[in-house]
Amino acid sequence: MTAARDTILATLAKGRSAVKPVPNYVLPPWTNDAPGHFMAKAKASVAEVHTLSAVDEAPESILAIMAANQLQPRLHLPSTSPLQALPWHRAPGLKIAPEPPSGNDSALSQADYGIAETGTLVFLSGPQSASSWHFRPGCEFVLLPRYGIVPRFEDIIMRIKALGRMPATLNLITGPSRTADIEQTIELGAHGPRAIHILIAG
Amino acid sequence: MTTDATSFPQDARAALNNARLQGALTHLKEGFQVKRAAAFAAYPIPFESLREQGRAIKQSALAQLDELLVQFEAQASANGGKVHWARDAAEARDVVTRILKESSAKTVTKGKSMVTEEIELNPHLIANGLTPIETDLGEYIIQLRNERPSHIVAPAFHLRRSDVEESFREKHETLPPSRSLDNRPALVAEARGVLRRYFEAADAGITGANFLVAETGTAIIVTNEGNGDLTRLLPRTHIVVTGIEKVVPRLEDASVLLRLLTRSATGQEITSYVSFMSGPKRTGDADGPENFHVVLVDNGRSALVASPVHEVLQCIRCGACMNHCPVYGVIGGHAYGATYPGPLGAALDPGLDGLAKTYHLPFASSFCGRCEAVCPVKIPLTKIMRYWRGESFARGIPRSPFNTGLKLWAWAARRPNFYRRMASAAARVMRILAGKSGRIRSLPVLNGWFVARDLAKPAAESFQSQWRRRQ
Repeated sequence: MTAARDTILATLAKGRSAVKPVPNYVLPPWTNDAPGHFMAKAKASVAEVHTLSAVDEAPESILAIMAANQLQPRLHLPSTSPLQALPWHRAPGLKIAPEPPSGNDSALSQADYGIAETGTLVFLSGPQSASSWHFRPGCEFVLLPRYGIVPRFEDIIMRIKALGRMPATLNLITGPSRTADIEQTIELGAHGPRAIHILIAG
Repeated sequence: MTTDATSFPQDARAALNNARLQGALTHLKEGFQVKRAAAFAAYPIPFESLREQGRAIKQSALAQLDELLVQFEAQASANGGKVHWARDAAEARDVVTRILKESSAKTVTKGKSMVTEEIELNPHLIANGLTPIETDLGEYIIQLRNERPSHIVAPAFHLRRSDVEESFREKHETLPPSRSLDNRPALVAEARGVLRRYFEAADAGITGANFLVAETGTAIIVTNEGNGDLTRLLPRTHIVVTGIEKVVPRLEDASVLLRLLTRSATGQEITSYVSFMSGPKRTGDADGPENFHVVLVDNGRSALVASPVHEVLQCIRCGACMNHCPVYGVIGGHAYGATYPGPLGAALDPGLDGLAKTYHLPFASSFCGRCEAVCPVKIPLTKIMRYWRGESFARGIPRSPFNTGLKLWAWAARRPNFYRRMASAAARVMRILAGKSGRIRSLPVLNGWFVARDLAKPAAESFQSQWRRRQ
């Protein structure tokens, strides 16, 4: 092991050359109407976007979306999730299930941020945030606070650097799972969700 | 896979006569070229300045690769991960097998990884009593068929829907034979169900990495299916196997390269999933792997850093060069007989595998330069192929008729009078052969050249002789 490490590093050291400085990046800022840009891009990624005036509307809204899409009124939500505190009594008939969802179930999670440039949801792993839940269900509902929408991924990097450390897993998710591996034609729901409903609150 | 491109001319000819492959290759244009062009056209920054940034990032990273790898190792270890180093394919296979045995793993899910193809990991795992399951749909299909990838981004690119149906019916024996599989959604749904059981049962998961970030000890993977994430997140142990050239200094650098990668590969502004994996689950985390390993594979790369072809290491594996190559476009990937096909392969394979088995590949180019024009990190691919051509000539590597021809020509070219006499004799013969039609439709030895082309009748008098006469 050490031998391999030493040999590789020694060969690389011999090949070192002067490091030319990388010029400052020129990238579009997308600062003009980030939430509007986010919604347009998220829709283009085949996510469904819904707007709520307040987080408390989520239970009724989810139940209505489930009915409209002929989904079973059963929503997987980890018992540790802060979203357990939503007024679920406002969605009569909607059953909340704490166990991990299987490939045909619906699940709910909360995104930490949204990226306007690409309509991307950002999830940081943690005690209340199970990364695998974004890949297990057939349909994922995602609550995204409007104030969490930032222009670009670079803004997320700044926030993470301020936290001091990367989470174990950071997921950028843009639209449902898809594959073009059969005859170069896109099919949704390869392994992850077939559908994503983003509820933008506030 | 073991690289052996010695039968490239025969394999390329067979590919030209393979009707199924020719059908698949027609998808390159609308499947890749059109989407890529549209994606860059829609971005406010011109492709040229974006790729200048990409090239600068990769060149700067490669110039200080040793320091970045040491920094990556320190950060990944601080995150609770373990970094391993492997000089060659055998060492890499052994490291992975040892990690798996130490964690008592049996079933291993795999995300898409060209480096594990390069080191022939799967046969080695099987020989050691382990069961590797490819989970990228394209990789899964070719694993069922015991084939190898024909494209670095779309591994099952050469197959038809009916081929997939046939493989699923043969291998998914427990499913009812009467089920309908005559459409893509049904095939995708079946693979989803079958593979989900593997994800849930797996003891370990192996993925590649599109980038490594030195400052945070992070491995980044880019997928559309989500298979890479289920491979990482559900088992106890996650192993990343990747090449040493993938490391960049900062997250910001990776961000720029991601914009170039997904647009160049599939014409997407971003793929469905981009995942940043920095170590095992933390204390109290809701889920994630308990163990996190990164295997840094050299396998010929470190020796290329100081070589005249060092720029080939800038490659971010988008596949745009092969999608736009007129040679790849008519022979597909398998004929190259190597892990990396197309212009990238022609530039990289001789460096990784030596010229003895790859000497044909740098000649598999018309030097039209489309590969360079679309390369998101501006690798001078034709310059590198030309270098390998020179090396193979200098080392006298058997390409006998070609090398002898080249030597004869060089001998003649250094003798202007002789050359002139020969050229004018050849022109006279060709004028006779062309006859009244004014075109030559065949010549001895050059049958292949005339399949789709003819030659114009040479002029009665050469340029040089006219020049002298008119002076």
